[in-house]
Amino acid sequence: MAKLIIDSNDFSRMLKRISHEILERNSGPDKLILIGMHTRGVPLAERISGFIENIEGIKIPTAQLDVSFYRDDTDVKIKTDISPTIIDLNINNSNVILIDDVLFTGRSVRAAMDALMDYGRPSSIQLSVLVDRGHRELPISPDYVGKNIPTSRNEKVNVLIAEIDGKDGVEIS
Amino acid sequence: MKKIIKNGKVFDGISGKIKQQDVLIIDGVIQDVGNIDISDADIEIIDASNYIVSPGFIDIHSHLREPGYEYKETIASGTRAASKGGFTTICAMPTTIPALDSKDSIDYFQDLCKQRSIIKVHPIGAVTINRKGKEIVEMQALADSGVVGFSDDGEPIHDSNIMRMSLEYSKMVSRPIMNHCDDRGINYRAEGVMNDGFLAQRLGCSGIPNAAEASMLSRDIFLTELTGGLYHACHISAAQSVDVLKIAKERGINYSAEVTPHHLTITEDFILGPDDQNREQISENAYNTFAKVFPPLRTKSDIQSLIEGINNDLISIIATDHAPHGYEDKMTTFNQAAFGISNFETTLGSVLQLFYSKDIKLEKLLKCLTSNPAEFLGKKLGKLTKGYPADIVIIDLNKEWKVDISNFVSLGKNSPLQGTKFKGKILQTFVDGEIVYFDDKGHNG
Amino acid sequence: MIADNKLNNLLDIDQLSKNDILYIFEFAEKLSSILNGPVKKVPVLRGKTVINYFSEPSTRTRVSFENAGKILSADVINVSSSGSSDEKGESFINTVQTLESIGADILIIRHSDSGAPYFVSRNIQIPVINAGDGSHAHPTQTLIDLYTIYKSIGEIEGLNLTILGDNIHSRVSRSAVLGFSTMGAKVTFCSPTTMNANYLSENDVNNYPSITYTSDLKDALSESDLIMTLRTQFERKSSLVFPNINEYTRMFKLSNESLKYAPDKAKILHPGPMNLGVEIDGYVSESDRSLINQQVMNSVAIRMALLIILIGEHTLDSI
Repeated sequence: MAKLIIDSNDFSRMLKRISHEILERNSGPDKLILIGMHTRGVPLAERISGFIENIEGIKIPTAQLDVSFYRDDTDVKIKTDISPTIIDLNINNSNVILIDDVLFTGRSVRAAMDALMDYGRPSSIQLSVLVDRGHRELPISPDYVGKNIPTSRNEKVNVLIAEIDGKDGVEIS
Repeated sequence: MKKIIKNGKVFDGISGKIKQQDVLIIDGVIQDVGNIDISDADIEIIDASNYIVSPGFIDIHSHLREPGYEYKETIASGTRAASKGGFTTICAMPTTIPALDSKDSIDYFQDLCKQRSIIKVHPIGAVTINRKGKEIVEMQALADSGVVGFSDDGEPIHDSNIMRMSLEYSKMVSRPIMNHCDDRGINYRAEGVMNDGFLAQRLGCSGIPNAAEASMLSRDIFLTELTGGLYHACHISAAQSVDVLKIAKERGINYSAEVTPHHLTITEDFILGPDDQNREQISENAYNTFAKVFPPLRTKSDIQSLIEGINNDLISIIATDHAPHGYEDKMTTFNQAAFGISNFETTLGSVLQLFYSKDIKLEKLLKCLTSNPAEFLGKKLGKLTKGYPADIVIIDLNKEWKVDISNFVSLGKNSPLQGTKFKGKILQTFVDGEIVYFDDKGHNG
Repeated sequence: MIADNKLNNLLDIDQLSKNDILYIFEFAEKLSSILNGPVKKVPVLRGKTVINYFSEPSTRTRVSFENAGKILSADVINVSSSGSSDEKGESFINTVQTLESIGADILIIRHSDSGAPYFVSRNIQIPVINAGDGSHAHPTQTLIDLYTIYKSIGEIEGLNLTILGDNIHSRVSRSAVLGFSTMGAKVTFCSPTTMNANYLSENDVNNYPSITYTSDLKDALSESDLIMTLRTQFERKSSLVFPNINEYTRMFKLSNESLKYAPDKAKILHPGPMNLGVEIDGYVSESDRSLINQQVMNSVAIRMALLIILIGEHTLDSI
């Protein structure tokens, strides 16, 4: 039933391109912090940090964010298997790159921004997603997109990540 | 005024049997009981075919609350409720304001009854002034004013000296001392609110043990033996108490004892709520204050003993202890709620359950409600025979009905029996030949 | 019961199945992360009004509930009263119904009369949490105790719990019997005969746990995995149940001495507040076998979980 629309090679290329774009728009790695959202945003953030290190020779700090208690859409159940938010860093005056796998209604990102505000006052927050599947319910747009994939509402977009799912790819079902 | 009640199944209170007979009433007095052929034109004929015709019930223990607590019940509402329950004579405990502890308060009370009561009411005087348990009242003066007995009901007579003295005195004034047995010293942990046992501890409530009743009853019985006084045990509830009465009987000690309809039929499980009769889970309906009463509702085995007590003539009287309360008295936590059940209107239904379950014969139940209490009072009541007042009830033994408290005539809506299905209902109640209650809803109750 | 959303009050712990209790633990675990974050506030219960109605004085339980509500961004209001019918003015039930009409979304009730939260719950529409009623129940305390054990030892099934002290007056003891039995532990009461809940321990009632009783501290401790010491008071009427403090402490106090009868791995709990020197010594409560501190620390997370389960809209994806 599930159709593979991005294979592992294209997956890797997308991430590399996004890493370059982040560096370009921010004129380098200074003051950058990568914060991974939900389950799959976390390894994505690690990978992007790895690519940036290859390019610039500098390790960008990463952190993870769990937005369960900031969400307003209550039909989504709180996952119990995610580790809690770990942000040991000072995010004040930094350029935070929020990283997620799929951008859909935009509500997770709104919740993430609220959560981040409790941690400090960044100079900017930029959004990087692997897939933008449309159907926004809030005025949120990504700064960096892997691929725009128009979908119908009841389709499911699954991003697979080797660290969690054993392989890389994007499927629609 | 001539009336005849025809073709009823008559319990006359003398033969001990129920027989199809007619009852002829002239000017409020029973003229004849038997197969009567009468063809006077001016006689009112009441057809009692298929119904029981019994002497009107006599309740020797009830709380009318007036004067002083009219929000709970008045003489008018209480006696109307009693008549609906088939009672033609009731005795009012002195739990009034002022307490019935002086000639003046008794005279006042009797006056009120003359104006407001629709059935016969006799006062019971307090034993001690204001029921405080310290000084004995002027017993002879009160007896002369019409009290039928003495009781501090609501309070036990704790002081053994006072109990002994009042028993001695009772011989002189020929009125019994009626004690509410409860040794409160036994509850050293806290004032008890329900039967002491598993359920009380499960609910975290302080319990009133059977021993508190039986121990004081024991004391009273032996003081009665010592003094030869006139003693009556109010509202017996515990199996052990029945055993004490057995000893009393064996020793030939003269006493009388009463039991309430609720102690004969329902257990402490009613505290879990009207429908939750199991102890498996305590639901939101638990701590049902309508089941809070003194003595507390106890267990099946206590009920069994009380039934045996009646069958073995150890307990000879069924008395209601009708205790009406206002809304706020019961609409509170279990600890703070008032004790008492309003039960004039459910008494017959309750006791008939024992007839239908074949635990007690109908004749015995009726005797406990009529001639036995009449004997206690020493009054010419409780029998259907020539010369006795026409205090009569007609009962449909088969009528099925459901308790609906909103239909209660009593101001006291505090009954744990809401929704209970009963079989057997009062159709008509006569006092001195005049009808005081008529079930005009006929067969829809 | 929680999974199919049928829980609409928490009056006693016997409403919860083992699965329900594990669900609450997971939720509390998840919520703990908020307590470790930089800003202890999330908007989960924003706009909800939580009212604490305490007619018995209490610092720890009330503050713990208050904190739980506030961290979740609820508006928390504290109402205290003497709770007696002698108080001038409104009756208890009128007050409670007024609070409901004023806009409370949930009432947290502590009352000195057993059954008060049941009485309230059947007369209002909003959920009620029992924060302790008379001698009857203290379900949130038991959840905290169970959670503390679960985090420190793990499996509760098969453990031997000794509840030591004034069992007959203790609501903590009553709820502990139910909660620990649901989780598979075995319960022993150890108390003087005058402080024993004798009908509960001698019981042959079907759906009630079987409880062993002994008045011998050494016997009780020798098999214990968990020792729960209850607060033993000599100020109120219950002082009539024992000659004096000295005899009590000699026979029943948990001290370094008496603790020697217990296995080394046995853990110690106390619902607080402690009467140091009466039922327990300071050395013991501070020792590394004591879980007393953790009990306090876990209290907020458990109460947060309960608030969300009853009036929040978030659910966990497990169970």
